[in-house]
Amino acid sequence: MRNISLRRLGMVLRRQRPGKVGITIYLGVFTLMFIVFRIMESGFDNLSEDMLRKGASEWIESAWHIAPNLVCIATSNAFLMLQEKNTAYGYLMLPATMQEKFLAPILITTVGSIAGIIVSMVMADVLCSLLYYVLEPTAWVSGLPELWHLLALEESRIDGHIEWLGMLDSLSFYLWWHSVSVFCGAVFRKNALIFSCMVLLPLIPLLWIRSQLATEVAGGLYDSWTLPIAIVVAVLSCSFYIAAYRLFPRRTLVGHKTLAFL
Amino acid sequence: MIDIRELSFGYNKKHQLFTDFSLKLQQNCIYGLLGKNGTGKTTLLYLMAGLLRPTAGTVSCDCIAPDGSACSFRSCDRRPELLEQFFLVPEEFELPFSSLDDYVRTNAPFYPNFSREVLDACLKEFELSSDLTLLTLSMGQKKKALISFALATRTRYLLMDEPTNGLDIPSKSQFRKVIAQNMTDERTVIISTHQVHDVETLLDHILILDDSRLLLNASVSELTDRYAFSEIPAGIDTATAIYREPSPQGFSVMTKRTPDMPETQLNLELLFNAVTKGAVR
Repeated sequence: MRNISLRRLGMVLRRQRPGKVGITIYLGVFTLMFIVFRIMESGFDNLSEDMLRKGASEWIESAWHIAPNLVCIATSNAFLMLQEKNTAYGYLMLPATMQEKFLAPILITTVGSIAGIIVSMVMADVLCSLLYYVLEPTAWVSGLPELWHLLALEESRIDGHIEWLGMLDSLSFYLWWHSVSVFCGAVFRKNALIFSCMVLLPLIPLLWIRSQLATEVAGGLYDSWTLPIAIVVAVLSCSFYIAAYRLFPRRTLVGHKTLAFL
Repeated sequence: MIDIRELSFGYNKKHQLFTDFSLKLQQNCIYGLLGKNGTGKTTLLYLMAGLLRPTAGTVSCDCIAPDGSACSFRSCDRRPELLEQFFLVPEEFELPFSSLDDYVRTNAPFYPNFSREVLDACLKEFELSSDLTLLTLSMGQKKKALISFALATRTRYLLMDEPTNGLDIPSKSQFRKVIAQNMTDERTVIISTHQVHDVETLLDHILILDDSRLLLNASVSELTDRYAFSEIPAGIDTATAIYREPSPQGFSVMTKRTPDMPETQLNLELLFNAVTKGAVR
């Protein structure tokens, strides 16, 4: 880590952060998307408190599953400025180490998109709750308690098992995809998202094999393969992060002409 | 000083653009890097800036370490200590969607010697206001804004690729003026260009590349000492000329200068043609 100075990293972060217009567009698009989700779940037919509560809880659950995919898509585009020569000059010539130039966009896209998605979810929930309140003044139903429950990863116990163990599968999947997105974004000049999705394709047969061989534990909360797979994925993810970190400093303005499609 | 030693580079293995190429560039000098299309001028600038990695050889540059001591780094290592002494003005570039003030606020802290006064003076010279929105500027205005910022960074090495492309007629003389005003003893400026008339009076040293070789590496004072450049009406004998070419006045002629001849102004276009056609070695 001797190549990283927090002062310079802060300067690169400050330079690369999206502007107010960018942030507004980003939040606006996600809020609109989440409003559509919520309306799709709750509809306008039956505005009883029970139905609205069910809809609020369900939309937060679905949005919660979509959010990590959005973060990974954003991360694979972290190094978009290096795709074109006209924008790459300015970034590569910045007086900072390549390691700082590697970390800054990843931090911005990962932390920024997580924060943006949460803010959008809250805004969408508040706006929808207000809308439904106007239509049915006796019901004020918000999905925010559910969002808080998901964010807090509450350690409630089911059959003596901690609930978040049941989330290990999806957590390890998203960690792996994130590491692959970082790797593809840092190494490939173009189409990082497509390459990162291609790396995920072999998962389909592996998931099928797993469904055939694994045995359920804790009433189906997780199975006998959950923990070993999570460990393997964690190791694999670390390797992708390290490989990206080591390979990024070798990036030049123009790549090998025969590999121009990358 | 920029020291290029036995440099080899190619965009693919079959065609090497540079092979065993060596060159030393001194400080307090404005270099004109000239050459036909595809001879590697821009590539050479990128190699100096560390934007490309040589397949063999090194490009090393002197700089001042944070503790004040003199040191030398390979440019391909892209050390921050060296990059804060380098600024590249590319031929084509994009600026962010922000005001010039925001651009300065986020980029100037990277350059320890940045001077707001120099920036304001350059912008004033280029007749630009400092409350610009960068995205709304024309190509020429963007270039003037970036050149102003580049000069304000007060880096030791300033590399410019076709800096006068896109500049209007008054801006070309303004460009020469701001460069001359901001030239210091420590600074090395390298201008790669085809627009020789725009920079003719500015250059101290001429480098002519052809077929990835250095055909000419000489200072302007050496050249004007050795050669005389003149316009001769048609019909007058030009037998003593080393090189001549037709011009609207008759002939542009380059001759060997004898001690009794007065020193003439360098005609860069004529010199370039003479060198690339083998009339001068």
